[in-house]
Amino acid sequence: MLGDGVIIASALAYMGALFGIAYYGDQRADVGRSIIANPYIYTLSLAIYCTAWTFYGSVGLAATSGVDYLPVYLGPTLMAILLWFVLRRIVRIAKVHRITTIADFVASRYGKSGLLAGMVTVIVVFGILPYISIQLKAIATSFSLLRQYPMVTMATASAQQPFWTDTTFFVALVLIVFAILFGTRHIDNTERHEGMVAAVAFESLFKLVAFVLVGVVVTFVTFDGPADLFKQAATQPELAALMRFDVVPGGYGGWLSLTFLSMMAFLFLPRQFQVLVIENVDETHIRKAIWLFPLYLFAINLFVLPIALGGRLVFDQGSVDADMYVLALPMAEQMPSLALLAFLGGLSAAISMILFETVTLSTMVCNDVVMPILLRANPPWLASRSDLSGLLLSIRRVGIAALILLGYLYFRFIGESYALVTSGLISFAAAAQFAPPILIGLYWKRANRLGALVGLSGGFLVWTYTLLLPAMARSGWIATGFVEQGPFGLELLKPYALFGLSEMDPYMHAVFWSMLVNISGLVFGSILGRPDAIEQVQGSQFVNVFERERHDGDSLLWRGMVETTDLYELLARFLGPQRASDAFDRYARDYHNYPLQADSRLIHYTERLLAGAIGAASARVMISSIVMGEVLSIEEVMTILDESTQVIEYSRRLEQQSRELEAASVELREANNRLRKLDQLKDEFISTVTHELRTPLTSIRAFSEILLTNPDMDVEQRTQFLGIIVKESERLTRLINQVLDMAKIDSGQIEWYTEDIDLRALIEDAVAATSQLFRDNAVTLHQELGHQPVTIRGDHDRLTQVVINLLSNAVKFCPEQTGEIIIRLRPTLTHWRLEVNDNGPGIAHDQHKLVFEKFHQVSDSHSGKPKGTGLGLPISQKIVEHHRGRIWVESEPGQGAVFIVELPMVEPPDPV
Amino acid sequence: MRQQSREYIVILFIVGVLALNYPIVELFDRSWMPFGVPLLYFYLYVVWLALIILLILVVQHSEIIGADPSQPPPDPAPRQPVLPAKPEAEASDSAEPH
Repeated sequence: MLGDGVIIASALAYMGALFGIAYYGDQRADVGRSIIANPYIYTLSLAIYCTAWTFYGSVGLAATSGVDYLPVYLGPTLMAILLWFVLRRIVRIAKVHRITTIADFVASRYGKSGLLAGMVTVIVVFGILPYISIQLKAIATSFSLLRQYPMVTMATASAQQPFWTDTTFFVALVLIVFAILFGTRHIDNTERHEGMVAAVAFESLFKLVAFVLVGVVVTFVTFDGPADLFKQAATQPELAALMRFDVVPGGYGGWLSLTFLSMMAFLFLPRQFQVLVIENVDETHIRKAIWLFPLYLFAINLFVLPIALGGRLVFDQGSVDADMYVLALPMAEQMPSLALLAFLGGLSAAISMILFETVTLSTMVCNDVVMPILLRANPPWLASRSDLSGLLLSIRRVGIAALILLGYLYFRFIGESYALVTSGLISFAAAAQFAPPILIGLYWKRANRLGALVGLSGGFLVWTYTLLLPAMARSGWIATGFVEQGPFGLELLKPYALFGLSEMDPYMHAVFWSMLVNISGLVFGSILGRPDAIEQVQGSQFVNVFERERHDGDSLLWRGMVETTDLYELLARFLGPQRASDAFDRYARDYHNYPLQADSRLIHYTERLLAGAIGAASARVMISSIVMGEVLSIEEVMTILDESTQVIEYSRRLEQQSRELEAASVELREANNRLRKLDQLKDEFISTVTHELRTPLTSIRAFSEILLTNPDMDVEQRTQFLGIIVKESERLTRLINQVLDMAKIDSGQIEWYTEDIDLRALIEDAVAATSQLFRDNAVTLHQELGHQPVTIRGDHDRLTQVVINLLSNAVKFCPEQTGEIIIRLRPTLTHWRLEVNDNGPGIAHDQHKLVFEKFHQVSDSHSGKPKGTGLGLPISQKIVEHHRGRIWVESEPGQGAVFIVELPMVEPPDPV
Repeated sequence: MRQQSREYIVILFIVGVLALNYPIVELFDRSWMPFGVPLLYFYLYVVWLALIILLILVVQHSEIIGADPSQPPPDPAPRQPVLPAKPEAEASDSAEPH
């Protein structure tokens, strides 16, 4: 048996369980271990789409209009296909901009307009009341039906009772308490309700199971499977008609418009927007929901027609409201527990919708209507309060209560006479008004505030005129003549046949006109209006959300000055001191301290946090009230954006150029150093050469003058003097020849005569040529040249010059009398190696390379006077290099020096 | 999601809209009852299920290709523990040029 006590107790127990789930979900969220962070919970939470409308109303509609119930679920299925494009974009934007509601989204898109946010909120409140009312109606009707068990009779219409005996009223009161407990436990600056989402997911599962169970029982217990059921129905002409398309009101046009409406409602009903966008934990969950959610819809709709036809077959026409077949059939089957389950299923469908819708709506009302007005008026009692978070909560609580009560009033005075679905569709049409500003705003950058205002208000007015007012007229609040003959008898303005368009059903008619006005208002308003800076910035940020932003233009808009403490106080006022200081600590950690004089980044950070609590538009107003400074004009912002991107590009190029320049300048500096060194060497050389030239010239001239002025000089002395003159001339010639040789080699004008030569013979010739030098200086020469001829290819004269150079150099640096020179020729694996070893003072390590530089002369450590011309070794090096050989020196200071020449072999040396 | 998967999705949507509207639905508005189910309902539910299955195929196919590379920027929401800013997440304030 089911008494009031059992029903109420199980309903309360069920709600208690929900509360437990929500509480658990919030607990887990607070410790950072979300239970809703998986795609299955996300999908189930989307199934909040299926309200009492689905649970009871679909069957009711199917029982009278056949297949007409389906577009409401086919629409979201089609929309689900597109979710990856549309929804992901919206979710990304909402996360970046910390959007909290659909009103916030529209307002943010169109320049954080407070007016727009307020308008969206008003439309939503008016539009959603019918929807809330049908949930209340469903709960109340099902309750009054179930309490009559085992009798299956409809209770008297509740509008005829005073409200204090009206079940619906008490249901509303219970729901108010429940929603307040659920949804306004604390102000959360992300406005996410993990606990509620968890509860909704559970409810979605529960209602699915309940409905499918009822469907199975009706199909397989009451009847013998679907074939039997359909066969029985087909025998009755009026039920057979339900299986065809003709019963659909509005025909294919109505079908199409219903599909469109539900596509839009699926995205833009405030609670749908909340679960789809705001409560989305992870974008990748969308991927799974894309197909899982349509599957849910499919499952919950599978038994709609069987239940509807079964109800029609079991009950006499009119004895039971078709909307209640889901409950009445188990009752007629005498299955109390199944009936109770069905009741709870309907309850869960209704509760989840009311909970989320009212909590979301109250947030919107609070953030976008009440707070802006309060903050603008700024009464003394408000200005003196430093912590407003409690006030925000109170406003939301009052908002929830007011919304549910308004829904009740709508039910009592307007909606009672309507079927569930009919009232719900009015709400769908209202939600569809948000489609143009949001969808077009997502892809069209130029859409601006003026367009959105014009479009939305126009669409809303058309909706009011073509759907809401006629609904009121039908309920007797306005004379029915308004619908039948048009206002003041103007036929053209009949709300169901505006301008004589009478072919369509009321919903298609309303959708057509409201969308026409809405979209054209948006488009033309946007083309004609001149957007200001923030509109353009927001527009371009929304449209380009997936592109990497090179610059956060938003923060540019704050150019003024403000103390950091002022920002902190503002934040603490709305979030409470604890959360505010947490947020500032986090900022300090992320950006390594915060400035005392807040910069635009900190201001922007605060604005976004505030936006989470009180909405973007209000946040902007609050921030601008404390930031001293002007707002930039659009030209300035765009210039800054442009300039900064240009500057970034320019500075990158500059950096690159400066790197290149640096490298080049290093090279140049080295080259310059070399040049300077060369220059210095040349100066030294010239002074050396001139000195060298002058010394022989002076002695030649002196001896010549002596000979000239003393003609009677004795022969012996004259011969001695002439010998000196000849020797000095030879020295002069040698010097000049070397300078000329060097010049020739350097300019490449020298001619080479390559032939097979015997290196050993060549060395012996050179030794013979210099033997006089050895004797003059009393230097001993040891030869270790082997006994075989050594054949290489080369220029005989030039190589001789090299050997003579090396030998005379060695002589020059050997001490007289004790000087010893060893000349050695031996093969290596690939080369002939010629060594000239002396026992002179040696050459310091840092000079080993320099001695081969032109004009370089190793100074004599005793006299400081250079001994050579500085050209012998460079010339030798050029010659050796021309023969693909190399020349270098090995020496330790004080140990003598070894000059080594290696020349490549033309054939392997004979084994000796 | 790959370009190909995007194309599949758009095609699927168009096919769905066409298959579930006049005049194709009209073709199945008959009194014949295959498997004991009215043809109109049978057709609509079968198309519905087929759309879902095709959708699964498209979505799962694109999943193998790999997740979308663009990740959402780190949210400064206090609820989540603050993560160190990812290098690629330059859309957030941290990448602001100074």
